[in-house]
This record gives sequence, structure tokens and C-alpha cells, in this order.
Amino acid sequence: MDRISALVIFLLFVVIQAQSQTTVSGFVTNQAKLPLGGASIAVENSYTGTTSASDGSFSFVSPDSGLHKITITIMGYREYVVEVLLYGKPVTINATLKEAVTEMEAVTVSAGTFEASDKKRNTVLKSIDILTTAGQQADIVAALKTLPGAQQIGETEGLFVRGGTGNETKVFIDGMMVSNPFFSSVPGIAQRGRFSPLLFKGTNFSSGGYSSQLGQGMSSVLILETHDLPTRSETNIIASSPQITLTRLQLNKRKNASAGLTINYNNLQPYFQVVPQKIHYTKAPEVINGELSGKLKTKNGMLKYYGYANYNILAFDKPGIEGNDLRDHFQLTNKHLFSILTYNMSINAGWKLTAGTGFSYNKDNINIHTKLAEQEVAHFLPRISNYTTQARAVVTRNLTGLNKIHIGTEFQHVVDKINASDSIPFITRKDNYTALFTEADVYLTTRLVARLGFRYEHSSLLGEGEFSPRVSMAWKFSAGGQVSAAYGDYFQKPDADLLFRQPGLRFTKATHYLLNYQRMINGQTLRVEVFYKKYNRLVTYPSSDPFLLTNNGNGLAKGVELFWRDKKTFRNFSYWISYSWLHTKRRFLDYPSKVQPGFAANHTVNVVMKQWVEKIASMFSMTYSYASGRPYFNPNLPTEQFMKERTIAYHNMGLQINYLTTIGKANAVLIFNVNNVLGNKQVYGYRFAENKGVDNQYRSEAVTPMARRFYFAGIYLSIGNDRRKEVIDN
Amino acid sequence: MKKTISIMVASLFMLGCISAQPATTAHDKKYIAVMETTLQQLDTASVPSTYIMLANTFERIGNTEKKYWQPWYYAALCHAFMAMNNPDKNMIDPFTAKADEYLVKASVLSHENSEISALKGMITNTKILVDPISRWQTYSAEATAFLNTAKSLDPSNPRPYLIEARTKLFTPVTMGGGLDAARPLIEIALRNFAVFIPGNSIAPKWGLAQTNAIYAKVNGQ
Repeated sequence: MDRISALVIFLLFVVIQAQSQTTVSGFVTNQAKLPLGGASIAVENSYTGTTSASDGSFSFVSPDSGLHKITITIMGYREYVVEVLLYGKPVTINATLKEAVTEMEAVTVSAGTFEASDKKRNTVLKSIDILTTAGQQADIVAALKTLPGAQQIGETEGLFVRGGTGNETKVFIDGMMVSNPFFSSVPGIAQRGRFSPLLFKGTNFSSGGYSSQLGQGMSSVLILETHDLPTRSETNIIASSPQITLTRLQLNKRKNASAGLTINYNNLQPYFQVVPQKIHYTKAPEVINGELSGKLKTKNGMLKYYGYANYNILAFDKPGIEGNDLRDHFQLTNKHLFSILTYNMSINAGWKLTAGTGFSYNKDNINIHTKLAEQEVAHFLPRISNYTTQARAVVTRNLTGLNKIHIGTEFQHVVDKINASDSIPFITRKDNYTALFTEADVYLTTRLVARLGFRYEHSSLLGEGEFSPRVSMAWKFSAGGQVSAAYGDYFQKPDADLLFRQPGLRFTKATHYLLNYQRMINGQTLRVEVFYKKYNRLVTYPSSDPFLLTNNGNGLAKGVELFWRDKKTFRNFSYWISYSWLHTKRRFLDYPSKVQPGFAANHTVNVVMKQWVEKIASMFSMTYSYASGRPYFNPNLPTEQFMKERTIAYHNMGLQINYLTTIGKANAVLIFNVNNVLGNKQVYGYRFAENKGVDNQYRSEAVTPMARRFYFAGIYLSIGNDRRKEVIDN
Repeated sequence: MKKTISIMVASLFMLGCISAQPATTAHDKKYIAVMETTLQQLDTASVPSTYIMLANTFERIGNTEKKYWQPWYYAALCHAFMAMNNPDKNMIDPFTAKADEYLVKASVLSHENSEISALKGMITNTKILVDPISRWQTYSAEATAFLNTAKSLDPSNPRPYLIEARTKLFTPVTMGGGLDAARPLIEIALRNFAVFIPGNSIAPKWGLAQTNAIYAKVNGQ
């Protein structure tokens, strides 16, 4: 018996050896049984193989024999490997390939999130969208105001999101908190963001339900990510109606380190000479600032430094509101320092570390004098400063597939100081804020992800700690369609001006619930989002005693938001439309009852259009924004009528032209921008006098833009150091 | 003693001869033969299905050989051609991503290679087509850097000049493109082609026909 089997094996062996040609054939299909043409069928370690035809069929003759691995691959699908015995008898392989989902294509939570990035494929906006959205020139916040959830606020800086105030949106750069992202407040005039959009490669705007890795923005966060190493050394020059900016970026020879220096000078004096303003500036806004940046690519990571310092001054006077012959003189000088050092590294395949530290300083000197003729009748001279020192570290553990766990901590030492020689004694508030957080990305499948997070925050000044759960989920049910939902608690320290009055307050709190549908196919994006928010422990005080602060306020916000973007239908033409419906009420500050706040409009619509004309290398861009009237309080009416009056609806059409050209060796972009082209009357609200006038009425004045239209003209030059010319000369 | 030294010298000399000799084994000959046949097909390729088929063949060769950069270079070139000639803009990114993947494998096997750098430049330029407004500024600088590296590594290589000339041709005049900008570059490409001798039978040599076509175009013919 043994002999016979040995013989059979021997014969079989001979047969295998002798039969040197084997036909391998079959079909390649996807999971939906559709044929896949162009797939590669390869016998391992041999040239032998073929490519499937458009009907998915393939056939080839292999000269090899024995046991071989055959690998079938095609773009967008997972590799299919089968082991076959080649011994002359035809082999059939019917392969069903599974779709490959890379990190880029895997489902991500879209609830509450708008991202602008060039590196990631599926983002709603590209970085350039921020630069080329008509409206206020090159301001990140101005571009984000065209997205659903954001209010059209023109009287003060900040992003007012879904019934939240501007202070309820926190800004982060490379994960580090920015204490003063805007130029210091001036009554009735929205200030610009301090940081140029050109600094950032990625912008992530969350209108709610954001990750547990960040905190202290009760309504929203804006996450900005600075550029990595430049591809070349270059000099950039910006010359525009209000500004001159010089930037030098130097990349080292090994291309692993760079240093940058920016000097910027802004002065609106010449502009105001040409375009008269509603108020009389005795000192037109003037800003001088410098920026330093450094980047170093290490073996496994990237070290980034960014430092910013500025000095600015402005002064104006205008008719006082309390009486006919009064004039209010306002002067602000601001000194600001901001610096962060961050480090990102892969410890090994499984572990990643993100760490950072930062320091910022802000000092506002405000002088307000009320004069009757040249006689001073009142003054207020506050000096306000803020020192923030912070550190942060996050460790990420990559688990199998795309699953991840983040564990991190944050520490901030914040010192706020105020005094006014005429009315406020020196007050100092010191806080040590600590946060601990963890978050897990759990991919149940590549199409279903759950993000579970917890955050603990403690403030030594408030003397309390709070624990917030945050959960979100997303399910991608087709190639382009997905639904996601998010829930979370968000805590925020009361604003510094409230803590000056009374440090013994509690964290204010918001709870978010979001449900989002998103469909993104071939350059068309549709988003629908509904949300419900509850505000608790808002700080409130009676109007008769602003020092009697309690956390007894509360509020709610709910709404529906739509977003449609189409880059496909028309050649070189892209547009988006956003609509937000908001219902919100809150009792906070000195509100006597729970009402719709003055910064909230019920309906907001934005239409943004961009047409690229290749022939003249120009982009024409238009933004139209509409917001229904906002509530305001007229003290001449009884208290029951609190916030019952409405401003007129807000209309704004902005136009922008970007013209791309080269000037000598420089790439140049010429920009011209006009705000409120149609000259619509815009009223943000009304300001009322503190005291009744002779007619027993409180005098009022409309809060409006400082000029009917805002114009901007500028040129951006980028001069690269390349050796092109030398090489051609050779 | 003398004898020992002379033996040592002789063996050192022989050793030198051996290492200087290109090691053309039977296996290498088979590799070159397969590459030559596949390259002949590439010369006449025009439809996407042929390019995919050829890219797959080059990939199989690359996976089997593991030490030559050329199969990966040509696999990338096939994908670059598919990206450039695809009417569907949405397909450009997947093709160029695949081409980049192949080029990473090629550059690991051959550092400071003018041809690889030139192809990187061509692929980077192709990526601009997806979204010229947002990609022009970053990618054109990146592509220029790759092409400049290609030129400095081998000033006689005509391809970086051809690639740059073609990009100029399709770039609006105000953005530094146009016929006048392309002309000096295509002239260098043509001059280089006249004297260019490929290192061996499987070294890149493509582009002469296109250079001639662009030359005719910029000279109004």
C-alpha cells in the first residue's frame, strides 16, 4: 500500500514537472457583481500575469508550476490573493474585490463641522475659498460667516454661532488656545482677526458638537492649522489700500527647516481721506506688527514656532448720545504678544505625540472723555491686561484599522488685571485651568464610526471642576451619502469682565444635540443639519446692580440649516448657498426675561458665487448675504416690550476680483473688493442714552457701518528663489 | 614576498575588473528583453486600456525584480499619461496618486535621478488641472522645484524642458505662460534631443514627437 501511494506521489510529481503550461482564467468583479476592467492579475515573483478586460474577464498561460500566489489588484479596491497549484490543468479564479477604504475615504463625523483643507480630499471648502470670498478682504471670520450657523454681525468682532455670543466661539492655532484672536473691541465697530488667512493650511469651523480634545467654547470652535515647511524660499509682499506687509521665508538646503519673518504696517488714514467715515477719527487705526515663524522637520516629527507682536492705536470723537453739545472722545492703544511652540511626532507605528506650549500677553489702554465744548464732563480710563501661559500634550494610540485612542491634558495659567485711575481699583484675577480628556475613534466598520469622548475641566478661580461627555456617530450608507449625530456638554468660564466683578461664579454650560445629513458626489455637496441646544448657568444680574452676579440665567437654541455647493454643473463656476433658521431665547446679563437676544436673527441666507475666467486669469466673486431683522430694546417702551423691537433686515452684496499674473519673476495676485455694492442701508441695532433727555425720552442712535461701502485694493506678490534662470542660461 | 605582492596586486586588479564590468547575467538579459518588448508597446500606446495593461506589466516586473527603478518609473509614466489625457477631472487625483506611489518605489531604488524628478514635476503639474484656482500657486512652485532638480541633475535631459514648455503652453499669458514663454524652453528640449543618447535600451527616451509638435506650434506652423 505504501509503495503504491509513493508511486502515485512520484507520478504526480513527474506530471507536475512535465506539464509546464497552465491556463489561468476567470472574472474580476466588485461586491455588487459589476465587472472590473483593468485589474492586474499577477503570479507572485514572476513576470507572468495579465490585465482584466472591460468585461472583467482574464486569461493567461503560466509557464510556472507548483504552488503559487496569485494577486489581483486594482485602484480603489483591496488586494485579492489566492494560492493555486499550477500543474497543467486549467485554473479558474473568480475574484470578488472589496472596496478599499483609506483614511481619506473613510467615514468621518460631519455633524457641526465645516473644514477647509487642500490636503484632505473630501472637504467642503478649499483654503483658497477663504481668500477669494467676496466681502471683507482676507479675513477668516468674514468667509466663515457665509456658512450656515453663523450670524451676520457687523457691530462687534467674533463669530456668533447658533444663538451664542462671539465670546462663546474659541479660536485655536495648532491646538493652542488664542486668548485674543481679534483686535481689541471698539464700541460699534467690528474688529478684524489678528492673524492672516495666509498663515494657515487648514481651517476647521465647528458650529457645535465638537471633540472632547478642545474646550471652553460653549457654542463653537474655530481650529486653525499653520503651514508645514514651504517648498521653496520666497519673499512675499502685500501692498494694499490700508497695508504694507513684507514676509521673508527661508528654507534651508536640506529642506528640513525654515524660518520666516514678517513685518506689517497698517494705516487707514489715506483710505479715510478718500472714503469719508461716519465718525471723525482723530487718529485713524494704525497697526504695526511683526511675526516670526520657524519649522523644523525631525526624523519622526515636526517642530513649529509661531510668534506675533503688535502695537496699535486709534482714536475718534463723535457726538455724545446724552446731550446735544456733548462729544465722546475714544482712544485705544493695544499691545499684544502671542507665541506658541508645538511638536508633533510619531513615537513608533502605534503611538503619536502632540505637544505644545504658549504664552500670550494683551494690554488695552482705553481713554474715554466726554466733553462739553472743550470742558471735560466725564471720563473713564480703564487699563486691562491679560497674561496666558499654556501647555498641552496629547498621546494618540493607533489601534487596528483606523481605530484610535487619544489621551491628553491641558494647563492654562491665566492672569487678568484691570484698573481705572478714576473709578476702578486694581483688580487681579488668577486662574489655573486644568483639563484632562480622552477620546476614542471606534470604526465599527469602515462605514460606521463612533467617537466617544470625555473631558474634565477644573478652574481654581471658580473653585470647581466639571465633567463633560461627548459622543458622535457617523454612518456612510453610500459612496457619497452619510448621516451623523452628535451630543455633548460644553463648559466655559464666564468672561473676564464678569469675573472682575465677582470671581465666585460657576462654569456656564451648554448641551448640544445635532443631526446631520450630508451628500457629497462629484463636486456637489448637500448638507442638512438640525440642532437643539440648551444653555444653563448663564451669568445674569439685575440692571439696577451689575455687581450682583449669579449663574441663574439659561437659554435654548434650535434650528435647521441647509448648505448646497456645486462646483460641477458649470465650467469654472462654483457657488454655494446657505440658509439658517434659528429660534433662540436666553436670559443672561441684565436681561429681565428670557427673550431672543440682540445678536440673533431668525433667518440668514448667503449666496456665494465664483467664476474663474481662464483667458484673463481672473476670478470674479460675489457674495450676497441676508439676515432678517434683529431684536433690540427700546427703553422708551415698557419693560414687557423688552427686545420686542426689530431692526430692518440686513442686505449686503460684496464683489471681488482676483487677477493672477506675473510681474518679472514674481507671481502676483491683484485684488479688488467692494462691500455693500448696492448701498443698502444696514442697521445692526440701536444704542440708547443712559438718561432721559428734555423731552422725557431716551435718545437713540442707530449702530451702522462706519461708511456705506468698504473698498479694498491690493496686490500680493510672491517671489521665489528658484534657479530656473541660471539653468536656462547654462 | 615579491610573489605574494604581485598576486595581491593581480587579484586586486581582477577584482577591479569584475566590479567595473556590468554584471549582465542571464537573468538580467531576460529582464532587459521583457522591458524592451513592453516599451515597444508603450511607444504605440494611445488608449487608457493599453496604458493600464502596460502599467500592470511594469508593476509585475518591478515586484519580481525588486532592484531596478525603471519598471516603477514606467508604471508611473503610464498613470501620468492616463491622468493627463482623462476628460474626467475627478479621475486625475486617483491616477496621479497611484503614479506618486510608483515613483516613491523608483526613487528608493535610484536617488538623485533626473528622469524621476522630471516625471514628478510632470505629475505635480497635472494635479493643477483638477482645481487650477486653488492649486496653481502651491503646485506650480512645487513642480518648478522638481523640474529644476531634474535639470541640475542632468542638464542634457530634454524632458524637464519639454514638460515645462508644455505647461507654459497651457498656462494663460498673464500667469507667465503662452507661446513666447514656451518657445525658449522647447528649443532647449529640441537641442537636447538632438544630442541625447539614452544610457541603455531601457532608459527613458520618450518625448521627441511631442517636442516637435510643440516646436511647430510655438513657431506658428
